[in-house]
Amino acid sequence: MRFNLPRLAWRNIRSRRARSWLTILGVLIGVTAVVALISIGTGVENAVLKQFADIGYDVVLLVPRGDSGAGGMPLAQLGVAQGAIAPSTSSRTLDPDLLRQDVPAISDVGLIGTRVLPVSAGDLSGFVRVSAPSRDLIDRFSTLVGGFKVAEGRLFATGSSGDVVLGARSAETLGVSVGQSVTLGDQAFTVVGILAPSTGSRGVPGLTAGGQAQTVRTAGRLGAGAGAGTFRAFSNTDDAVFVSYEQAQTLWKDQPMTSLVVVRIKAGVSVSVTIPRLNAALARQGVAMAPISTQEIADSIQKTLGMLKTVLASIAAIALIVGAVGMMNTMYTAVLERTREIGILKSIGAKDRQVLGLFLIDSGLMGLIGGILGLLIGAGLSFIGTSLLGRLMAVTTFSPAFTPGLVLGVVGFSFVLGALAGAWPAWHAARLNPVEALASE
Amino acid sequence: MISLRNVHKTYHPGPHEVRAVRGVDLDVPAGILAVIMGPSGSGKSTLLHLIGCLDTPTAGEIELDGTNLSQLSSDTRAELRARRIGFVFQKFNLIPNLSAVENAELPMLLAGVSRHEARTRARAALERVALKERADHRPAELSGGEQQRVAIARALVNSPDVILADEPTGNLDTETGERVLLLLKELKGQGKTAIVVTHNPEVASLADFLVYMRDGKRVDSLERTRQEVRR
Repeated sequence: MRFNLPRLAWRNIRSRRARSWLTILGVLIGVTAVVALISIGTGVENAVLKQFADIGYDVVLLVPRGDSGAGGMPLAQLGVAQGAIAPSTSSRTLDPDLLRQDVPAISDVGLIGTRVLPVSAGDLSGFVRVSAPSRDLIDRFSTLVGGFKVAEGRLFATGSSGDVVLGARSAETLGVSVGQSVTLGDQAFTVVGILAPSTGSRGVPGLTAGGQAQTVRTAGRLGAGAGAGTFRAFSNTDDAVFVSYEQAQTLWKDQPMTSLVVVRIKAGVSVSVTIPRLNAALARQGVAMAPISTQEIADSIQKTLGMLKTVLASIAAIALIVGAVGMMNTMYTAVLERTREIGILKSIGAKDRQVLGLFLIDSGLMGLIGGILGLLIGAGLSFIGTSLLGRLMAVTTFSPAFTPGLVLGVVGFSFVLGALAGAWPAWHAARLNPVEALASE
Repeated sequence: MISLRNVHKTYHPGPHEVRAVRGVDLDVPAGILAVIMGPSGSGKSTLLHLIGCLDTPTAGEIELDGTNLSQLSSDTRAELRARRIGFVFQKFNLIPNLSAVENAELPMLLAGVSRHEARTRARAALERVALKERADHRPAELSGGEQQRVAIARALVNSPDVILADEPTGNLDTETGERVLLLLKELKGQGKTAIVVTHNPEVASLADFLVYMRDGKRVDSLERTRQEVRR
């Protein structure tokens, strides 16, 4: 059909400019909401999943079983089979070497404990997150602790006492450099090294400029749902300070620490097959811990996020439907207003389907304009949204995700939605009797 | 050749039916100018709509060069309107959003003529009605006479065989009415069939063939008698 329907439809849209824009606005708001929510949702999902991918899906966490988790447990419970440390609770101590023997599929075992302690250096004082990673954790699971690259000085020496390594920003805030001393709790430590900014950090303020160190949130409960939080807390090393695991055991053996055992499964061995074996091995040792694979945590988070995304998108879809109803109203009014014009078109030879097409393109075009503008505004909003959210959640590498499917889908969908909203009015217009249409004013 | 056989048209606009056309027989040979006269409500416009495929008769048959119009599909009738019939209305009936030339080219675009050719032919048609200079103006910027000339250009642009005009001078002053009259006269010279509904005796004077309508029926003989009596 060579008849230039889009141009006439465009003219029609322009001839009732204010109403057209209001109609487009209705669609635009809906599309904006859908685009912003979906792209932010997908962005969050991607960011979280990337963290897991960085850590690796061959990693399994051993978390205290039945523990409400808030306070963690005494570090001694995770003891490295040192006779000096007596189990302080009914649960037995985990022996990593025994575990490794028991489950040959394990390639690495890493341990890390974390607690918040008062800190002072010079005349500055506050609170700081103190982490105690085992040597294996630093060497084998460096992605879990933000890369753990030493920028200045060195790592703690084996068997040394009083060595502390500072995160990049905590060193800056405390105003200390290698060789100077800081006090953690009531112990004096010597700064032996300062870390490079962690791979997972960006603009997260930890210590305030006033010299008063903020209390750093400790990783919360170690469950599947909070796994990401745990990882985040560990992976951002900038605001933390580090002592060796052995030293932490000696110093704070009976004090609760949020602790984590990380196990890597050998390549080629199925994680899901190994989990029951780990469970059995833990039971044999009498340790009240349960294995959770990163895959499980990621799946659970993805499921939760997916649900959240669906709910949000559904709410946004309602806005879109309201927009479509507004469009239907506009189109119906337009048909009533232009009845005479329809009569004219028919009298000079327009077929029913040409009239139908004219109105469908008219409404489809408005839908399309609304869709494209909504996409742009939605994209803008989600960039702002993710940067705010990212800051709030201390999530790094967090940006909205615009899949080609989302972009094309939204644009195509809004055209179809517009055309559908205009379908009934257009059908009504096409079926008008030309004589009656011509007689109308 | 247009022929009507016992054509009836009944409307049901409200509780009471309106019998607009009540059994009309009419033959209009090709190439002539026929004028239909009669008082308001006599069914002359309805008759014109029936001939122009805008409406279908309730009973009876209408043939255009042997084609029975009432048996055609809605699409075929639309095509017929686009290619073979040109309408001129009392109220001009131009599309307000489109310029004169865009209005004039519409029937061609609807009939599938290429945009370039449509534009060229539309401009030529406007030139024929002496509106070349006003081609890019919207109807609201044109006078009544100019608008009617655009409408005539639009009616002629597809070179239809039949021109149907419903009181083409009804909304025009004498001078512009005369211009329209001259255009109608020209049509006759080009061998087109024209059927004009009018109250205007000047238009009627051009007719090769006069039809009088009253109460939905032809009353030609009665009218002739009356005029003779008056004379």
